Amino acid sequence: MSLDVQIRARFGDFDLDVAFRAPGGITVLFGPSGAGKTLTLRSVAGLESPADGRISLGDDVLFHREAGIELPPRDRKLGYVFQHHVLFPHLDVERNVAFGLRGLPRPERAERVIELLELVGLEGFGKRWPAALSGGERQRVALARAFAPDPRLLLLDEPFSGLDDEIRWRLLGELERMHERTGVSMLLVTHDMEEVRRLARWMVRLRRGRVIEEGFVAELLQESDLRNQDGG
Amino acid sequence: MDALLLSLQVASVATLLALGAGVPLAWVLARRAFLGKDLLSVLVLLPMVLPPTVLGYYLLLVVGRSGPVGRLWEGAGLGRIVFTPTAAVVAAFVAALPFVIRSAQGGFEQVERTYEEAARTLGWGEFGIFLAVTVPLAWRGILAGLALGFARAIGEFGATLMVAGNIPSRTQTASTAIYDAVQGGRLGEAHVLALLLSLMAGGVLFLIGRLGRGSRW
Repeated sequence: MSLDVQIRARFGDFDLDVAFRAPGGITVLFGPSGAGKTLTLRSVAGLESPADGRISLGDDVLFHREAGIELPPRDRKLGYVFQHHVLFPHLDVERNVAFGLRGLPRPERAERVIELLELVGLEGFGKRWPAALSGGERQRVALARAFAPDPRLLLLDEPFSGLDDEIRWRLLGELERMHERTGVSMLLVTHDMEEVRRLARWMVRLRRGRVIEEGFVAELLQESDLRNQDGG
Repeated sequence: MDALLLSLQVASVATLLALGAGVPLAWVLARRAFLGKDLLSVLVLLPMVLPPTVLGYYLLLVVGRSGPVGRLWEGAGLGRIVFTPTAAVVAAFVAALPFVIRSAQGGFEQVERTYEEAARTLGWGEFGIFLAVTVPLAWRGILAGLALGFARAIGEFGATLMVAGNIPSRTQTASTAIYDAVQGGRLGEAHVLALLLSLMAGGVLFLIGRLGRGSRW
């Protein structure tokens, strides 16, 4: 399912005007900080309300200012992993993961939680509290929680940027595996070229609130000298 | 000990009502921007700084027999409000409300909005998020407001005297009973009541102190 984004918005002094397509699979929104990556992602999720434009996922219009369509986040059926884990501190791991599974009957919910914890390599962590987890473990729980309601698309905002390199690399590998196992498309925000290289098939490059380049990662990498540009 | 029992009843009911009205109001003040917000904040906090007699006078204007609420109440066949225990509840409620709002608002303001945003992306609506995320994360502020509001309610004197009077075994609360006892030279009774009220207030402060610690996150 492809995501089509065409939005214009002003946030304070910042002017965002982007149009791009994420064709499915893993797509990366790449650019330096201040490029508008997070605001774009938040707009797709419905956490920001752009002044104008249209966002659609497959045939489903999530946002269309002119037509007066603006689905609230809860109806968009997208997963979101924040830069900082944002696990609910008053709920244990199990209840955090189950937070998006309210519709399921209890036994199925419990089963699904076990399955999800296994998916992120945290079997047996259900009764732990977020405060007692390491940074990497928290972000894994956040992943499991975002995956839980079977999102049509998973939005990830530099999910591993706060972690040590070693853990970050391991988690990137696991993210790739999760993508293969679940088939859920992902839109990943990053300013790290290595992450792009490692994960993405399709890349959208942003700078100062504009799309400057869009295409297959392999082709773009060949064409340009991205190699030596850290964050462009 | 009628007075002490009545005090407990009045303060409990008034605090619960203040919680019911104050927590949603505190949330609105902490989370929403709207026209007249500053005015509303001043209005809800006013009872905190008004002289109790002034507060009592205003209450009389509202719930008195010719006041708008008083007339509605009587029109509904519920009798008059002034000089009844209900009036004591009204006075204690208005006195407790600012404390509940202040504390709860502080609690809500401490809750990072990203938690609420995370819940939104997980399919939750605003009211569910309020109950399942915002309130539990603001619980310290809310409980502190509960304790302070209760302490204020049980100590309410001036406004109570004006709207509920000081009728023994009917509207006489522990606070007004102490005043009465001292006026009547019954110092032993005043001693006991004062000690009990002090213990209660101390107990409340102790509870608030404990809330600041002991937590699982």
